[in-house]
Amino acid sequence: MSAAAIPAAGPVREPWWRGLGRFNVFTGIVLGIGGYLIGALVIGHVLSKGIPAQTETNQNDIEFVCGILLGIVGFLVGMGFLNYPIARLTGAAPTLREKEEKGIARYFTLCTDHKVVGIQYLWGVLFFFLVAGLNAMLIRTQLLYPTEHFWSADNYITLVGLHGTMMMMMTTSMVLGPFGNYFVPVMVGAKRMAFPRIEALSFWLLPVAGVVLLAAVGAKGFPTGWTGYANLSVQAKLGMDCYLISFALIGISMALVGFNMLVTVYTMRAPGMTWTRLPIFVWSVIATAFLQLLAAPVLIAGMSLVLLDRVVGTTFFMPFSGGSPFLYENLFWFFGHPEVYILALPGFGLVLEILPVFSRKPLWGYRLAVAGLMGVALLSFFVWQHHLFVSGINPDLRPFFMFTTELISIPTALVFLNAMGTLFRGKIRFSVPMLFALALFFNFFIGGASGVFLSDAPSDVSTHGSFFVMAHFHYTIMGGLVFAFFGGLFYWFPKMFGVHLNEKLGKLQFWLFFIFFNLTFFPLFAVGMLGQPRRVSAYSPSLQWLNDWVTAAAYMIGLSFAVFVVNVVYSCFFERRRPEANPWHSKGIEWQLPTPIPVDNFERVPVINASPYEYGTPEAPLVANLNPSHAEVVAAGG
Amino acid sequence: MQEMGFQTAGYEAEPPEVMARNINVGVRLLSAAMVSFFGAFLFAYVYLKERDAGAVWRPSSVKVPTGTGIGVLACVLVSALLTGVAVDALRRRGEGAWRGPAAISLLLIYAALGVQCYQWASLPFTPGSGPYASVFVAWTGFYGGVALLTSIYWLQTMVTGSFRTRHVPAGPVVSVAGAAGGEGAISGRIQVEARSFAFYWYFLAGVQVVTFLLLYVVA
Amino acid sequence: MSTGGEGGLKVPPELRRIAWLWLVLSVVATPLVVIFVGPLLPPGSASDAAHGQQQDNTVMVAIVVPIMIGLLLYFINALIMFRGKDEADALTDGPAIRGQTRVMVLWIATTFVIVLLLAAWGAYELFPGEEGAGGGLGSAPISVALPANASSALPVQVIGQQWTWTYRYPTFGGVETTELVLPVGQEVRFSVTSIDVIHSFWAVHLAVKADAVPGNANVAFVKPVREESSTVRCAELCGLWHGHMTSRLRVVSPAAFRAWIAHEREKWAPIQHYLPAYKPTYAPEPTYRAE
Ligand SMILES: [Cu+2]
Ligand SMILES: [Cu+2]
Repeated sequence: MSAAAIPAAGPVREPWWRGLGRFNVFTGIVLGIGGYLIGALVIGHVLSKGIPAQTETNQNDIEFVCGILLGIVGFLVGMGFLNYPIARLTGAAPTLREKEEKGIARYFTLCTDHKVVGIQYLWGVLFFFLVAGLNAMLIRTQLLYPTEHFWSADNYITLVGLHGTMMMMMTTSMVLGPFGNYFVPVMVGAKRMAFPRIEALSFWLLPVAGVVLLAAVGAKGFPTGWTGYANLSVQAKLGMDCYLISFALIGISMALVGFNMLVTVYTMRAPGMTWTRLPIFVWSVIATAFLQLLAAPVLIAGMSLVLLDRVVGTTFFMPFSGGSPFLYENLFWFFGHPEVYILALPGFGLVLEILPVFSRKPLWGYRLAVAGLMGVALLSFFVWQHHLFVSGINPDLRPFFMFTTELISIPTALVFLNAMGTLFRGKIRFSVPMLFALALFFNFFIGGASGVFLSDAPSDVSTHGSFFVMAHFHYTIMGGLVFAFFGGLFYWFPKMFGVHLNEKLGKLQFWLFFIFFNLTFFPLFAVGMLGQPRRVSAYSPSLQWLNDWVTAAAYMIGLSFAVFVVNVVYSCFFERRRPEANPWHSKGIEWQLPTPIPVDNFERVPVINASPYEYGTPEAPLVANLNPSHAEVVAAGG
Repeated sequence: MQEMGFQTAGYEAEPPEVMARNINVGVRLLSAAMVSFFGAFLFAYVYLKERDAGAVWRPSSVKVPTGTGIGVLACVLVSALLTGVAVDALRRRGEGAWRGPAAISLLLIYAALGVQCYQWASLPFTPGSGPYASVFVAWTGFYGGVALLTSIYWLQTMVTGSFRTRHVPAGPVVSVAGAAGGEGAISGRIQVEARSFAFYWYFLAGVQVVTFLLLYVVA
Repeated sequence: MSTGGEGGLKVPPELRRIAWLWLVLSVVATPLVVIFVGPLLPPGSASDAAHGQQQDNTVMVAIVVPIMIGLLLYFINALIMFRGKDEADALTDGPAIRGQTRVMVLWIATTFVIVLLLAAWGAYELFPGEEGAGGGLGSAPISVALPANASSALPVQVIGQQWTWTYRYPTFGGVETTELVLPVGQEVRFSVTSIDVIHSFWAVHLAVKADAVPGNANVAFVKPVREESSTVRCAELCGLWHGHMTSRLRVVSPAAFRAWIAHEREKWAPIQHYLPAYKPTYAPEPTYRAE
């Protein structure tokens, strides 16, 4: 079936519209819409017959959910995801390859080239990041006034939910999606990911989830924010189903990414790529992948249970029918806290990858960094009830969860020590990636220090559920992950696209972002301490001037992203500065390969001879021997 | 690593041992994820049951459908047993001997799904009849929809593939570094896959045993 | 592994100046912060819990300040001192220093001690003795978490519903009011519940926060020590008008409180018998979805 996709050689060029009939995003959308209609109007209609709670209200969740689920299936069928499983069921031999020809069209199909998937992820994530960022602007606009002024309370609460959920969903893929898929196979010396079709699936679930979530706007919104607390979510309108399904889809995508990354790194390392030569970025991917693999299934289960309560009529979270809202809180945060580190760890890995290159020093304390990343990952499974200090759940366990939470600062502090050691006596260059990487440490320190107040159970009494928490996690996620993401993007953009992003515009973006990020979120600590709860559309008039300040600064963050968009357009279409083969003089293996990286990455299986951080050791060999002899391969343990 | 691994003339020329190890490692990770997934149901079970012992948890009107429960359990256990027999036959006597028990094992998974569907259709309570009923519906639902269906798909591809490619000689003998057991060399992809599937299916049978104990025996 | 560790823990020459600077700044700044910033820190001192939390926050600020000074000094110093001087520096490498075991051990030990101190201090503050920490303690708080005068506390039930707060005073005939009035200097035992979705009772100035969960009574203790009026808010997203879910809180003299509660009982007497009997939690009629 994959053969159908390889264009026929010869002079006869077929008309462009013939391509629409094949499996691609267009057929996916058509079948998706068809699936929705059949699911909602036929299957859902039949299934909901005789259930007055669904049919005799103006809200038929059964029809809606059946429609969405079948629509998703339709889209995936249209994308061609079922072709291979069906072929296998009928006895076809296993294959690995699926549509890896050249051309722009492959970005809109099921493509198993990990570099294509990486770039698909990049634009997908950036798009949804932009949408969710615009939501943030709209939220801040509302908060210019202490009462509802621009949006109704209804629309406002949906905006809050969309912003939070979309950011939480998209940022889980923000580093692992683009850079993990693109560079992890290269960095370990493999030709592809272990399960290329699963890799493609993990990406294509992302736009599906995004669209389903956005559809909530047309289904009367949802009132729960990104945490989706039951039993508010059980009584909510149709849009809630969109939240539940899309978050579960992201959970599936996350688990698949984690699964795939772990197998790839475990089994597909090139000869000589020992565990101590693995780039630190790959280690951060491993730590994150473990979290994704083990935490995301709990999210999927949690979302499914709420969906069952709404659609099938179970009573998991109905307090007066034997259920318990505490059950949801426990399930959600058992996933939710590892989720926080799913967002933080790849950022750490990225900046530790960038720092040695721009300090021209080996990564200081490599083993310690690995231990730090793994330590954070492990501990993050034992802290979830710090989100529930005032909830009345297990108050006697508060000292325990306070202690485990504070313990996390030890491995986190190791990452700071790595950075400090790496800078020491270096030859630091302040290129744009380095600026973003350094800013992470400033931001994350403030995020971490505010986390100390939140982890302290007595102090948390006041800060919990207030803007203080909100400022805290924006400092860690936006100040950490998003800064690292832009650092990584400026660092690897020449490799991925063969274009050097403009440094001046990059620096302008950085300084605007860094300054106004801090001017936005630092005052929010005070706003929270002074008594403004999160997610409110109205607040105390005495806090208006602080809120107005924050809104003005937030608009400037928006401006910094506009500078980024201008930079991409200007650099790609007007300046077109071709980078040197290795513009940052990095020792990373990815810079040894030609740009663009060929489909198979390596012509022959490479042999890894050194760690990628051998700065200051002139006699150290190149990281990879791209053309090894048989003897060299055997010597490397191949 | 085999010599053939380096001359990657075509994209498909993956060293077979890497493919084997991928499946081998992958199935263990998949099972770990399943522990998390069904762990959530287990948590819901324990949490809701502990909160109120008896009264609301399972009102006396909610009868446990033990008969069909035993049916599902029996199908799954016998099928898992046959999977073991099949893997053993594969190692001793080759693919031909594997085919028979594997096919019966597959039929039994289909049967388990069938019994499960019958149970849902004839359920003596509604999902809303309290926490027990809720957990029952969700747990059996996802066991049927996730565990049984993925096993059916996997075993079916192997069985069909084996019947279709009967005439093709077995693959080259390679050593599988990640494979369990000390036998050293096993041959071809089917061996690796059969072993990996057996691991997965044993694991899921274990889940089914836990399911049975909690939902039917303790209830 | 250790390239420069031979000299023990001698401070490298590049760091000597900032080490001194750090010591001086920390010694000067930390007490200043404790003395001058501490009393200004939220949540103020309108109750024993607020006071306790303010103390707690002061301690944590005092711990954070020297760490922050140290990190800022190190990073600023490193970025200035070790910056590449010219273009050629982009191609020359720094020395291949890979790690010093002593520095690592010292760092880990330091962070571990800080963590232990923080956790011990936080746990100590949780077991209040005289001062309630103000947080929700669940429906059956263990005795060690209770304030000393818990048995003589004034019980007040807080009921959350979309989107308003009401209060019942079981020792005053179970009267239900829309305003929260408390006598100053009297230990209060809140029992917080909800009749629909999760809310969170936040008496901002009193530094009390307890989730209102349907079917659950969440107990919290506090002793207001100052007469003032403030606002109760909801700190858990509960739907459409979450931001408007406020009510007035007045802390008054005991005499004024007695007068007020007598007046309330009289005012609500005609409808008192429509209220359900006082219970820790209430199960309402089946609720249908809001439209
Ligand atoms: Cu957390
Ligand atoms: Cu609220």
